[in-house]
Amino acid sequence: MWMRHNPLHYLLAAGSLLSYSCRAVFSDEAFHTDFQLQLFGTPLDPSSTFFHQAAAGKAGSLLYTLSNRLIIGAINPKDGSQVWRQQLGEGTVSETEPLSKTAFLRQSKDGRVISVLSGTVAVWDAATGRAVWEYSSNLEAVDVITLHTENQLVVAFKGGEVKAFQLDSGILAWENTIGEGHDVASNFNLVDDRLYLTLNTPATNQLKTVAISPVTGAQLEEFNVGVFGKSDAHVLTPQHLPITSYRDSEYLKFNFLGTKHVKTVSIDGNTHDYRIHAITKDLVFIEFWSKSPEAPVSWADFFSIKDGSVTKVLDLPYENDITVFSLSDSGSGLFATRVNRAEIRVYDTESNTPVKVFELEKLLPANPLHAVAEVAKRRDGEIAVRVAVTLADGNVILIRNDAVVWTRQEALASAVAAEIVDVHEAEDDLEKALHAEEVSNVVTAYVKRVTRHIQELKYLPGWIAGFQQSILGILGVVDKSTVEAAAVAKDPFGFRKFVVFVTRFGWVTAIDTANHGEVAWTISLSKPTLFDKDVKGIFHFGKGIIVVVLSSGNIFQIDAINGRGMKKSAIQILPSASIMTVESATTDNRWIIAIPSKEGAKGWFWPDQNDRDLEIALKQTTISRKCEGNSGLCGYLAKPTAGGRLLLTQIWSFRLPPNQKVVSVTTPPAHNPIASIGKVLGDRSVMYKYINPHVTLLISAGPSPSTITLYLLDSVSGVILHTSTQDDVDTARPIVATMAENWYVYSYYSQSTAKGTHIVVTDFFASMNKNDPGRLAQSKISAYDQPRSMLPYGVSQAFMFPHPIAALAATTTRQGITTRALLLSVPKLGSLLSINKRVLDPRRPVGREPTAEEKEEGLFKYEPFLGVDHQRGSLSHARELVGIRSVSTAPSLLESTSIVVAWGVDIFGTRTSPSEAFDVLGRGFNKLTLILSVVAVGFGTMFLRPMVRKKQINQRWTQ
Amino acid sequence: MTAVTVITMPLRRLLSLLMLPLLLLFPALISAVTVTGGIKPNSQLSSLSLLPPSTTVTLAGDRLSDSRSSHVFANGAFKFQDVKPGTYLLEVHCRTHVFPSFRVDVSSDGLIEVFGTFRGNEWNNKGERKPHPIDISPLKSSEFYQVREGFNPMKLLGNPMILIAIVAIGAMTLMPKMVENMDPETRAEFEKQQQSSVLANPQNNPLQGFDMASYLAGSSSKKPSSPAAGGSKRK
Repeated sequence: MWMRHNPLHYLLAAGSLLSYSCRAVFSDEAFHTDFQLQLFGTPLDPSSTFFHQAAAGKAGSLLYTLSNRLIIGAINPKDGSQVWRQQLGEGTVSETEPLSKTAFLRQSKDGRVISVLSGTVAVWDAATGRAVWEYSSNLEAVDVITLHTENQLVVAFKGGEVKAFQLDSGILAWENTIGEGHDVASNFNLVDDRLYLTLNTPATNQLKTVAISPVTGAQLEEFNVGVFGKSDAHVLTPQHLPITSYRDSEYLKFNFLGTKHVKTVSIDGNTHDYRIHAITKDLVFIEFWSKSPEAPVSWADFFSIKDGSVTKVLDLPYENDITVFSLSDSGSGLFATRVNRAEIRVYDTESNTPVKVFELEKLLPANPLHAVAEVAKRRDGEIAVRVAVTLADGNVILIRNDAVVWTRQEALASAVAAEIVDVHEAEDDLEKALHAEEVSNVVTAYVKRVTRHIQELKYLPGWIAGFQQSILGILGVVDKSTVEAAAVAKDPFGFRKFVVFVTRFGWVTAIDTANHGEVAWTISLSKPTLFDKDVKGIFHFGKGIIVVVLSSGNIFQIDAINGRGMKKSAIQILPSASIMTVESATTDNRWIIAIPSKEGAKGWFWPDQNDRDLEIALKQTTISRKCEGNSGLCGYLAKPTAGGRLLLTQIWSFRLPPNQKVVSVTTPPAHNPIASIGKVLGDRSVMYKYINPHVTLLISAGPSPSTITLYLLDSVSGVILHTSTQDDVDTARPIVATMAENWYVYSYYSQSTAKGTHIVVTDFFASMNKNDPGRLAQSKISAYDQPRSMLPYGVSQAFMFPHPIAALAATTTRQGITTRALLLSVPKLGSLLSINKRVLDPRRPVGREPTAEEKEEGLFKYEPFLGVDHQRGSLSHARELVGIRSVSTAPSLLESTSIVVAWGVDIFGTRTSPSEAFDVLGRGFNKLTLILSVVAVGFGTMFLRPMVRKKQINQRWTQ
Repeated sequence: MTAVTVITMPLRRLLSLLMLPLLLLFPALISAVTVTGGIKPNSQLSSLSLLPPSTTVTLAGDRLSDSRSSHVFANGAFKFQDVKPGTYLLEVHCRTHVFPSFRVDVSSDGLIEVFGTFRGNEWNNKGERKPHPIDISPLKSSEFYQVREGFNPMKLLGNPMILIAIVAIGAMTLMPKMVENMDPETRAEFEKQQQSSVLANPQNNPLQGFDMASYLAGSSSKKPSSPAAGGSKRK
């Protein structure tokens, strides 16, 4: 007898088997369904950006740069593609400290570049980006110089220590300490095979130069240049000039090295700033600009240095505009290139009228910050120029003559905040029309429907054309990419999202996840710099509107689809206030509310309208934020009053013990659907999940330096739901956490006997007993009525992981049916990994094989060590991701698929299906084979039918 | 502060031998040492140039400030300067290859001991002792992509069910020929035997009631009155 089987059963059984392995990337999907913006960051300083030959004797040069994200590397100037990249240090960048003082990049001989980051000096192969050698110390390097004849690299440290290394091997050749540690070194110069080091003695305010033998490092002579005034400062002087320079408020002073001779140039240092360029020994080029951004001024002068005298030979015109200069010599003479938003002018050293002017086809999107140029003079006297310009919006462009060749979106490497916007949410016209039809009477609804259908007829020719295209695409006649492009435009699965970033340069930029991360739009907030603390948040305000809130109280409303600025308003908020959004349950209204950190102060809400709705919305929630003094969490009840003010009443507070401090506060994501309220065990009993949307995970450090405590709080009532403590934690290393559904996961570095990174997962159930729904059985659940017996039951398991984790996130899907996967950013590997939540199940049996019932539930034996399996768990596959700080996820229209965007320096986007792509045909599905096999079976049947008939008839006749 | 600087291997050995009595005299002077090693190609890694340039080696101590990181140089070497006494975990961070990790113990008199270590076990569970400078070879290379199961005729042929079917079809076609080639006596005996067997007599076989051929031909459903299909049913 046949047993009746439900096909759904098979599907579920297959699903549970397959989901052991986290679905990774197929080779035919890699590089198609994902995208990466390989970024360097904005070039830091003009002296650390240069064109340089990658290998000796090789034609053409690469563009080398050191960025504000401490990334060095080479860019191909032809197309702007990355040649190589390396991150200096751990990549942690201080926000306000001027980096150009401690980090710089210099060119060296034989296709090498040298990077310096405070005490670490590294020599890199300029063609491949491989380290040649590294030297690190706890001193601070101030200058490096390559001695060509000795084949050595000499490094000067701040305290006057000078060390020379063999350029090829990094072996110490000699070392010497100049000035017995009383002096502060600043600059090397090489004049006639004599190495000069400029130092000043802070105790006596004396500036001196010391001649050093490049062979032995011995101090040859010392020259006291003069007394250094209080306002004096050393000016970085190009190394091959026979002078060292310093300045006070009125004069720029040049000291001829090896003498006490000083020449001065009068410059008003209060209003103007300047930079010294030089390529030859006898010509100095000084670029001037105004310090105030309101009154931009720029000009430049050529000075000749000869026989102990400094004379101005040429001045390039004074302009009331921001222009930047670059001095270059690529074998056809010395040229100064001047760049502003509209044109590029090339000057020679003879006259102050440009030898060539290139008017740009289009105005540059922002003012230039600095530029490096290469000028070539052809035999016929024609001038060609190539300029790499760093713009004030943080991007880098390369201009050849009068045209922009490429733009690199380097500002995105300095993103401060990001938000994912659903593009389709704005296009719900059809939904509205259908709704209108539903509510109106039969006749009008019918008329509306018919007119709508007639209107939609205009799409018919396009649809037929598209249909033809897709048929041809199946047959392989049309290029697959055009079919894909058409699919992107249609986006039936909701893979298209805009990721909106606020960058440090005061711009808001959106990228399109369906279009390989291309920039969809960009808009300026007219703020020159923004730090992390300046941006309060970026919120998706519904209907395709993005709202950016700054600490200054400025609120920018931007259309997320086309990037048009819609409205700029301001509320008066304190810089330390917490900002959040409130949504009305009944209407489309949303508000931004600001809660000041000071107790007793009133809050604000914006926009200042529909306060009735807001009052209703706020009645149902408690607002929680960090208490004053960062000592815990406080919960408030808010009531809107006139003038956009909020009356706040503190209803609970959770204060940490005095010797503990807050490490992080994690809340569940806004979109956190839970498809199943329980977990079915092998014996058909159910463990009910602890479901509470108002939970907050607070991690605190202390009292001992190696202890962290985790508090799970109810954010409505402030009740502590669960507490756990970890000892032997290195609190100096990152502690990251994420939560979703009924679980949280956190990671830290453990100093215990199981040394290394640990990942701890905790699942919460309504009760420790099976079939006990706990509070779920109550008809009314209140956050204020939580007896001890009703507290959640937490089950934990810890795993070891071989690498430190910089960010954690969980995938999210439309309805939450798909198993979740945990996403880990592993900076040491440069990978974004995914671990299925089923692997991180705290109910896995420890120390024994699972029983049959446990096997049926999908549990398998606990193994403490989670290795990295790229094949099964790497979303970024062969790509190298640099500096990922944060991972955001969003659902697509397909239940199986979650959109993942990781950002920091690089931006990486992909889509992942943790339980296999069960609702969509993959690329492996061959439509042509299917059609061909159906046709073949049809033909076979037609062919066999007469034969079979004949045989049957013959059979009859023979009997 | 004196550091044992490593230049080349034999020289270093010589140096440390020479310096050993010195070091014993002034143990307080030895506060930091240099740990070195190199990555050696093997069957998994045919050339060092295949390693990504961003490959780093870290020496993780109990405190972050004691931890050191080094790039892998063009010749495969790595070097940690200024390592303070303590016990460290040495790991190679590489996306394309998987490397073993090591335990490095630096004693206060500058002695460096290297052991294999087993992740997921207690730290005291030391593995095999290794020489310093440390030579590391990759265990395996990473595979990034899942293989999509496409249509593979050879795999299909490997399926036992398909094999049985092929043997059965082969027997069916070969049997009549074999029977033909039999000598007349055996053939008669065989045919007699076949006559009595159930399989040879479709009328007695209940399975024969379902006529696959006529089902495929569609005649039984379309033309139930046709003599062929009807006839087979009647039987």
